[in-house]
Amino acid sequence: MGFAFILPWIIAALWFDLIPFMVNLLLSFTDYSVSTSAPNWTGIKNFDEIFTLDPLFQKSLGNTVYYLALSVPVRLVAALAIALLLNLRIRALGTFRTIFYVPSVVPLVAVSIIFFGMFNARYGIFNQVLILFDLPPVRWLTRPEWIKPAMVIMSTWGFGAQMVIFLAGLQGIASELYEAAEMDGGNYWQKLFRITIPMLTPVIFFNLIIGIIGGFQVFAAAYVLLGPGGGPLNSGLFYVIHIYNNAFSYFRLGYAAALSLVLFLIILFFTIILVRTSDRWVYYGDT
Amino acid sequence: MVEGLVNRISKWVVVYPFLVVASVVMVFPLIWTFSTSLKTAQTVTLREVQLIPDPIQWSNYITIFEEAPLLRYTQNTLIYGVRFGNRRHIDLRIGRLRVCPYSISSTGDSFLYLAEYHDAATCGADHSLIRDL
Repeated sequence: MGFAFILPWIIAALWFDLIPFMVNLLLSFTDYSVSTSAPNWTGIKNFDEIFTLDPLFQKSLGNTVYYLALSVPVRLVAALAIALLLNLRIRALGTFRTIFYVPSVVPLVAVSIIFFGMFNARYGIFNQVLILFDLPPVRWLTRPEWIKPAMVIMSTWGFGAQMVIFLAGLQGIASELYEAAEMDGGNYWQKLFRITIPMLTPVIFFNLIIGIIGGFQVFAAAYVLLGPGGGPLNSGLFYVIHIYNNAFSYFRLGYAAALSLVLFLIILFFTIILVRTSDRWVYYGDT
Repeated sequence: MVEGLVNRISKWVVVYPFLVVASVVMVFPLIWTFSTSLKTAQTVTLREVQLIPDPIQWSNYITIFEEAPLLRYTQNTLIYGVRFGNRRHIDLRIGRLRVCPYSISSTGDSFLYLAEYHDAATCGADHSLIRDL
């Protein structure tokens, strides 16, 4: 009986997740392209090409890792800091919470178009502000070294979703712990580092994993900001854009399937490492 | 008592000013977008910051309906949101409805206009247009 109730989800999981995954796995060993009717089995040729011949594989993977190494910590810290402030007893709490959450409601493509205007070297607001402070203006989207910082600024703007998860976590911390600390004369910072952050580690861990997985899959923002070429010197060519180009510009779907499989394994690897090391720093209560 | 006072002072000196400044930064892109949506093709690329455009061109909001079947796109998104959104959050999907400020294009009947990724089809098509400005 219980099985009957979860059947719709089992069917959906098989049909929408498992079967496409298996098809992708098979296609990654073929030269499938839309034009040929039947894909030919080519063995590990695609993987051989990825690791030995494709310079853009390393470039795009490097870009992606660089971007997520910057953006994930920045967004985590911003979300946590604002969540801590919005967990205090302050006035206009609802208004502040709304304001910080609103950006994550704007669709990513719209966000990218908004920031595309704001990053404009000539009339964009970022350079206007820099000039206001007598700093040299920056060519945000046309200089290789500034593309990733620009992307990080843009992704940080949308930290609201993570902030809400942090807020929920903060409100789940038992108030007895703080009362006990106050009895012992603990100040704000002691309470923050001895109670709040340790008790929040499961939530930090969750946001970290979701952030890293999302960071590896960055696509729409970079695609709208920089186009499929990935900006000057491929400095904004992220891994999924590389997959997209192979699949839908060069119609090498077999090769793109192989690239996707490699990305899956990379994400799996990082996730396993994080989960394995989590018992050293994530606190789930004394069990 | 003393601690309560310190708390209150730190709230007014640190917390509120910080939150207000951060809020302005967070809201600014949206205000900027709204301001841009009222500009003409000439004033959109002006170098100086012009939050209240001169002249104010409200007709942009008529143009977007004339140039593309926006209502049709909205309908598509609603159908998509209700039918497939329940795999994630229906309310979030519908909450994501936003009019793309630059969408003055005639890319006919792209299936999903406003939904999360698929609006790349239309907003993305205008990409070249923005770049040309």
